Amino acid sequence: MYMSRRKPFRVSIAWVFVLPSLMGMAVFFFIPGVGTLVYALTNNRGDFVFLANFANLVGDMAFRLGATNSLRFIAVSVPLNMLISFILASLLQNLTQKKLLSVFFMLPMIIPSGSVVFFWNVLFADNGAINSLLFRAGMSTVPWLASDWAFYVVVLVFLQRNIGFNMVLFLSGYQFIPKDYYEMAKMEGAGAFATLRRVTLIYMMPTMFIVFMMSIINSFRIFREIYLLYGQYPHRSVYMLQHFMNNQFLFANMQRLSVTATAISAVTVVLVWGIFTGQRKMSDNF
Amino acid sequence: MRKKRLSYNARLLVIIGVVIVNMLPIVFIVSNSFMSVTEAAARYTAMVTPHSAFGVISGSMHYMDMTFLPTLITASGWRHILFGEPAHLRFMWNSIILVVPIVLGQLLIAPLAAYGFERAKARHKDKLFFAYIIIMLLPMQALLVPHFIAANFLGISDGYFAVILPAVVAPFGVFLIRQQMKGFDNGLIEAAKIDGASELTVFWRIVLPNIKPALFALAVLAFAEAWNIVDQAVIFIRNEFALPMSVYLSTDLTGNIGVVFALSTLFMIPALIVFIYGQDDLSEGIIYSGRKQ
Repeated sequence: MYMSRRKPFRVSIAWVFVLPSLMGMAVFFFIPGVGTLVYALTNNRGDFVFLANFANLVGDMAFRLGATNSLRFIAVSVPLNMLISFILASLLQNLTQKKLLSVFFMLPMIIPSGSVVFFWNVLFADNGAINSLLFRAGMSTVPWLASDWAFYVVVLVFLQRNIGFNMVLFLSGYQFIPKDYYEMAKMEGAGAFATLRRVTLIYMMPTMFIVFMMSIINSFRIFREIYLLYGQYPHRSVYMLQHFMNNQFLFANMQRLSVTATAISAVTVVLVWGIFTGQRKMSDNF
Repeated sequence: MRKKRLSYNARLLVIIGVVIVNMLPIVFIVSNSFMSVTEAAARYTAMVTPHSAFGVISGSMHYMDMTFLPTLITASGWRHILFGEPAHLRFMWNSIILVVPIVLGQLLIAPLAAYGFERAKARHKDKLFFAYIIIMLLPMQALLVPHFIAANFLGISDGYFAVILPAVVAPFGVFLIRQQMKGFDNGLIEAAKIDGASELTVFWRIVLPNIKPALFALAVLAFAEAWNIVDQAVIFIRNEFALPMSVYLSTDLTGNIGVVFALSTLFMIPALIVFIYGQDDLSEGIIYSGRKQ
């Protein structure tokens, strides 16, 4: 009887494959993550103070400004981003040129932000192209980057970079909706709106959640563009949580840094958990 | 039928319009890179200079004269960065030495770990993988704190290693590859094992060739991400001559308008090449990472 020379695959061998990754994760994420938590919960002398540091943090005006702006940015840019990319995907999904066009849609995501930052500068600077038009038309110019308009400029920069990527995600979501359902809806005389609500949106739910999550993750990355546009000192309407943290890095204020990082992580985890359970509930209902 | 045709064309038109508007920043930078250095200085400076004196002026402010088509198409900006002042290229090189180890390291570590996670039968592997996913979703700025602690502990807090090492082991790659491995036919692996193939052989000969699209997608995404690195670089790289181009392009805007366009375009090219080479796999990879299991 033939006997394999090798032993059957054992658990330990699979973990050897995981080991390099696990070691890296332990060194740069897990272990210092615990360190971050310890910093966040103790004072300078190392005494355990539980949430006192968080209370201090919330009292910090700069933190409040950053947190408010970050939340406001998410609240404005994420829904806009999802709406626009969904509409675009709906328009594009039946076209035969779908594939070629989605390549162009993906391009802005690939182009490094630094490469196009000068475009936004030329457009929105005090002496920029838009103000030039306004000036020549005899209207008063607007300090786009140095007023509350800055927030909307940054939203625009975010949309330009992200709608394409999300559109491609929605496009792939359309692929998973069986075409018969549309035929059926048509036969039963459902209008465009009813079809959207009863067929597309329902089958799009899983994709919707993924896009929602990706949009939130990507909205955190807007710091990059703001940093490139403004450097260390942005206008106060686009002073994000990340700017607050960057300032703490300059002073290597470990306590503040750790408290903020812990707070951001906690909020993110709660949010993700909320999204996942929300999604499970929704898909159970359908 | 006629109405249908019309709405088809209308949709196509709308989409093409959006594509064009969405591409404007890229088109602007690329086309202006073929502008002469003096023309660029005349068009895009804020001060009234002999060159810009004929533009639209209010007080001492010169309004920019934006164009998508240079009056004179030359390669003078390109000549300037390639031969005139190649010092700029140093930052391109900085970007390259940051990105190459990150992408290669990810390609080495992520597929191994993904395969290990798929094959492992331990009870707690799902919990561990969940920790990977949570970390993947956290904003970079929150992760920089643990990185900072680790880098200080290892004595690498100023320099490339503090940027490269955490990026190499970032969990996104493991997630992406594992998503695609889930669709893999286990019968194939079992068959190979019955024939006496070792786990490493199975991985190398059977699994890897079958997940090539995911590997390419990972390479493209890891490249795009690392090529665009800003947050980590401004924290960990304190020597300003060691900064990658992604940061340098924002610091050098005012003084050197003539070369910014060519430099920006040059900086796009590697990203474009990688994208064009991997775009088929990229959309597939995105779809896989987006599909719920």
